[in-house]
Amino acid sequence: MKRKILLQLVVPLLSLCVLFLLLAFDPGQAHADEAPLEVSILHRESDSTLWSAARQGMEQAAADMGVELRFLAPSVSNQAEEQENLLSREVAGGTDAIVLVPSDQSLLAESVAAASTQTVVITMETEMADSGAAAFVGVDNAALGEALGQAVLNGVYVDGTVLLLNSVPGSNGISARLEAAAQVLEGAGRTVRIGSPSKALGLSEALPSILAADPPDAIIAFEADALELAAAAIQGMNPRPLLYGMGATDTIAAHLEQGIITAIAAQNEFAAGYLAVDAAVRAVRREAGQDTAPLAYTLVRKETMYHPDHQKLLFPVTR
Amino acid sequence: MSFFRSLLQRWNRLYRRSSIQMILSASFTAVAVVGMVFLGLTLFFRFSSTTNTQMAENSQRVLAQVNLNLDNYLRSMMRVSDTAYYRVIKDLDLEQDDLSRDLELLYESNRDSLVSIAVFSSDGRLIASTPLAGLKNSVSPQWEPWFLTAMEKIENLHFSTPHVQNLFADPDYRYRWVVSLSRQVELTRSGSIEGGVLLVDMSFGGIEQICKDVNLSASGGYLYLIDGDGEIIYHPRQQLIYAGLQSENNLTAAGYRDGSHQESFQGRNRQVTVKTVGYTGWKLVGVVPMDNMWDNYGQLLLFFLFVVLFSIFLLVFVNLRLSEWITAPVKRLDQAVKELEAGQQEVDLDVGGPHEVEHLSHSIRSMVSTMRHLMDDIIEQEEQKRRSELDVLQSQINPHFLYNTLDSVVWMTENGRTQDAVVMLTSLARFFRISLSRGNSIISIADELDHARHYLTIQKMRYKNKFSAVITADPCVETLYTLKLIVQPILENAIYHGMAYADGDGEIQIRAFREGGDVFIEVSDNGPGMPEELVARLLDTGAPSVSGAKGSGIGFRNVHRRIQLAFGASYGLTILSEPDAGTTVRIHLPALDEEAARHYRKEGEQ
Amino acid sequence: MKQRFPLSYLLLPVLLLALLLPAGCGRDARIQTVRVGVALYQQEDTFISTVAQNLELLAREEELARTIKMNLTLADGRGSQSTQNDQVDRFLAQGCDIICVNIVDRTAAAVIIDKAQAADVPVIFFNREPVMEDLARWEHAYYVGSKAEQAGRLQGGIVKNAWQADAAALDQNGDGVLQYVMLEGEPGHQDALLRTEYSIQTLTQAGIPVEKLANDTANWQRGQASLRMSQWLEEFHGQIDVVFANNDDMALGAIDACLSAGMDTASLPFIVGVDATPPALAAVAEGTLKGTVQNDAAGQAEKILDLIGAFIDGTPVEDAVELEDGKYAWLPYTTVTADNLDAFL
Repeated sequence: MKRKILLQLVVPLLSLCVLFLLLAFDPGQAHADEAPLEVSILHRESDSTLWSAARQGMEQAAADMGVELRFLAPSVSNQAEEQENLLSREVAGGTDAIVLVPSDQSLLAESVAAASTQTVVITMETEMADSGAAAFVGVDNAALGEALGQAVLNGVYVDGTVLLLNSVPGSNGISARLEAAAQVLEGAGRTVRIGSPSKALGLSEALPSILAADPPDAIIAFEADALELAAAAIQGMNPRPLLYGMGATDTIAAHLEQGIITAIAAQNEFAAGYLAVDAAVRAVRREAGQDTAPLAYTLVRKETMYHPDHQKLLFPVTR
Repeated sequence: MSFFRSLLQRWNRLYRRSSIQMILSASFTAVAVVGMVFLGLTLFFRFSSTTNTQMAENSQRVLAQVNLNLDNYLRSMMRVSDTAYYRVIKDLDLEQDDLSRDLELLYESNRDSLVSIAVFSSDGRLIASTPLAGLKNSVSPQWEPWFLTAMEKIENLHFSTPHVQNLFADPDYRYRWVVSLSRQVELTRSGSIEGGVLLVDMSFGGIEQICKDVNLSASGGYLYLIDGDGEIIYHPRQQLIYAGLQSENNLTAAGYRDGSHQESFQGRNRQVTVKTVGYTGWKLVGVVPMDNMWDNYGQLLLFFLFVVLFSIFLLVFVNLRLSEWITAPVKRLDQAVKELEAGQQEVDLDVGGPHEVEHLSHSIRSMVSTMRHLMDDIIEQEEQKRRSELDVLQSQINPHFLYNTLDSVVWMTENGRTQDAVVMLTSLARFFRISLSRGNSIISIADELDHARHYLTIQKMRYKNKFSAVITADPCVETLYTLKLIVQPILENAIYHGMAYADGDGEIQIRAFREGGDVFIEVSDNGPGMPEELVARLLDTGAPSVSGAKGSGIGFRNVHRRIQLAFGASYGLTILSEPDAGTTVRIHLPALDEEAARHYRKEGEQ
Repeated sequence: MKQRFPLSYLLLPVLLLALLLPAGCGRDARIQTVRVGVALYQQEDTFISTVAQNLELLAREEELARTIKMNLTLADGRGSQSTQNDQVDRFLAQGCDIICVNIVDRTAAAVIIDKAQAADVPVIFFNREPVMEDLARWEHAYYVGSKAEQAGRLQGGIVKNAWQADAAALDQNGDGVLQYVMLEGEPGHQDALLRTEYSIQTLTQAGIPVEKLANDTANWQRGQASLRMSQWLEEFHGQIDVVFANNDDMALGAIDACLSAGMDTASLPFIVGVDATPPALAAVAEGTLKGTVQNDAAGQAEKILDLIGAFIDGTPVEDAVELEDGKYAWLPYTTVTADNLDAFL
């Protein structure tokens, strides 16, 4: 009899105590608070000012989703080996997701495949789904290359030379753009030359000599760093080749305004960064999300630069 | 209607079938649960409705504060423009003076909020500016929107929407988001007036500072700023909206009047508060998502739940204990009674509990005990009756009396006293006939007296007329009825104890008379009497019967007992005896007429 | 009826309690993470962004050396102290182990130090020095930077040496007096005030006759400096011997103005700056900028990380870094001229 009373009393009391504990310490919320996701960002550029807008987008996404970001910039730009090291270091150290801007997808394929087994890998700029990357955030590189090629066709006559800057050697999104542009140009009868950095000289050193040796009618640079270099290089030239490219830093915008750059293809860098972290978080949490569609890009010229939408595109961060 | 009736019937059946404890517990629990839930719900709804209103008020208050700040900020900017105009531009002649110095002073003192101050002529030439002075080659100020609106309405100050400043050549390639405040001004050049535009570019950061990080609610509430047409000026998620990753209901909000509104956007309910900023026509819009309110108060809801559950638990527990305490004794009592019914002898009826139950158990106990005693009494009585009747039965034919009487008859016959023998035999036959009385135990008093007479006849003869006997009866008495064989044993006793020592002067008197509802038969003799102990012993019904060897065997006691058994304790024999004076035995009977006799007869025969 | 205590009754509460446990367990398998919050006053400032980049690089090295994870969070104060205060709040709320603050308003450090003290999080100020009384509020508030007056002295030293070596080369109008213009940094900035003061004091203490033609603020900016310089060139044509600029950006702006006014490298006044930024070093190589003083960005980052290392290890801070008054970790400035330029490229 006493046992029965004890049970009648003890069990409900116990359950109520647990309920009270739940209230007092709110483990649901604590659980969410206690474990912020860690996302490592591995860029191929050592100079982080070139992708500051994307970085701001990533930080905004991190603040929204409760994520901790780790930015790992290599000491030298576009070195696959160093990226490999950083990648394996991050995986060994344990991280929830990695956002990678690969400098060479073929050289990094193995490491990415190994990394995808242990953590989530998202790539920007270059697609690496074959190697196991969970998602890709970036523009349709082939289409972009084509568009730039098309834009050049208007400015260069048949038989004119177009210098394509292969600023990031290896197989990656940049080279995909370059190939697409080359195809369009060659198909339309323009001569295509490809300028690459050599083992000894970086592009900034090599470019002046290339330009001096055989000045092209137009130059296409497929990423922001190369575009800035090219703009600096052709500034003193007369006549100046037309310069087209991809990227939207302040320097590039200034040069566009001054007419040194003829037209640029711009994507919303802020959005790219935001979406990359967003995709990473969703992949980690295994939420079913729509696969990120390729980002939109717009061709912007000096005349249309201050169009309200283009303002928001070129200068996404209010300062 | 029939539905309710059937429900009621089912309810009643259930009620009748349930034990007290179940009814108690169920009803208490139901009341507790209903009560607590009702209480909880009312409180919660009251609370949440209060919260709703409070939230709306809070939003309005916060918005009012932000509005004040923004207003002050915009006014200070307007003051800068005014100062630049009224204290600098109007006072100076462009031909002679340089505006830049004074404008610089103005710029420096407001450096945190301003990006630049510039004065243009009506054809777009830059007249003076600070801090930078070189216009970009590509810029034509006269076609810029801020220029055009300023020239359109010359009496107003015009605020633009945020845009990237496109004026000055900056070697650092800096692009700033600004809100342009432009107005038309009168420039003095060599005494003549020409039109121009004063442009004060406010850094967007100043507005951002005021609107940023405003806490409208504990979770998820935010504030944004739109112009009169609904274009976003500031939004905490501005970059995302520009990038197309998020959207906001700003165009609809532009149509709202000042105050609180409910709206639904992208599937979520929100409370939207709008406040118009003076002069500019901008609107501050505060948004508090409604579902987040529940999240926020989810904790509180859990707490309510806890309190309700705890109270229910407590009440239920107390109810259970209480009903158990009340009903357990009842159950035990019930159990005990069941055992009693089943026939168990030793049943523990000592039950504690509420006072009624204790009283019940006491009563039942005493009733059971009384019942047992009564049953025992009945059994004893029956036993006694049976024994007496057996005795009576036995004595109806007393062998000794028979032998002795027959011996006397034989002696008489042998001695030729045939007449006496006939009398004796006739009396014997009649004596025995009345003794048997065909098995009736109730006979008329006449018969009983006859019986006694016959006995006396025989005994007188046998005792050689040592004594004489007289029987007197009231005429009304003789028709009444009595138990048979009650007088003869007394006579036997009187003869044995009284007349044995008499010498011809022994006298026995039998008198039967009625007094109201009672009948008395007195047998008096003038014998030596009986000592008190003998009197007591004779009337002691508890002691074993003294059967004399010579007597008929029934005995004095037997008569007394039989009378008492048949008619009650108030009837029976009384002995009045004085030594050497005589003894009177009084038989007290009720006056039974034929009806009453029949009634007793029936009882006896059962 | 004896019943064994039905264990099934305990199942429910145990299940509920089990929900609470995983909350704690998840992360223990990973290596220790140190969270550092870095609040910058203005990320646009080239020097500050260099320090930030160096911090990130060195943090990666530190991670390797100690097998820990160091998560650096950078926040741009955009020149607003209230923004920076909010950012510091956020750092503390996120659970940063150490915060590094490049304070916007020198006089407003007390608020931040109090917050850090309440959260028991050490705070390292760098590059912009808070007031001494504020730093003294708490033992775990430190400052890493260079003594601004030293920059002034060194800058003055360059001019002094040049004057003493060959006064005629500097003296444009040949009157034997060193006429200069001063391009100042942001008004109220400690560096600006001290550099302005001590650069001239070096000269006057050396007995060189100086005359200030003009001074004005150019807010550390190249464009504004260029504008000022153009105005002064117009005003004081041919008289300006020396152009002092509180930082390299402004010095480069002065050079821009001179060049666009048609001067060639030889006829430029003696222009000196402070910071030794890459464009400035290039200008020194070209000869347009005569000298600058290096503000050791990498060195600052290193010292900050040394302090952080001491906190991680739990060793006393004095053992890891040399501190003056237990608070100040000074870094020396270094003069950079054409002579020792190679060392800095």
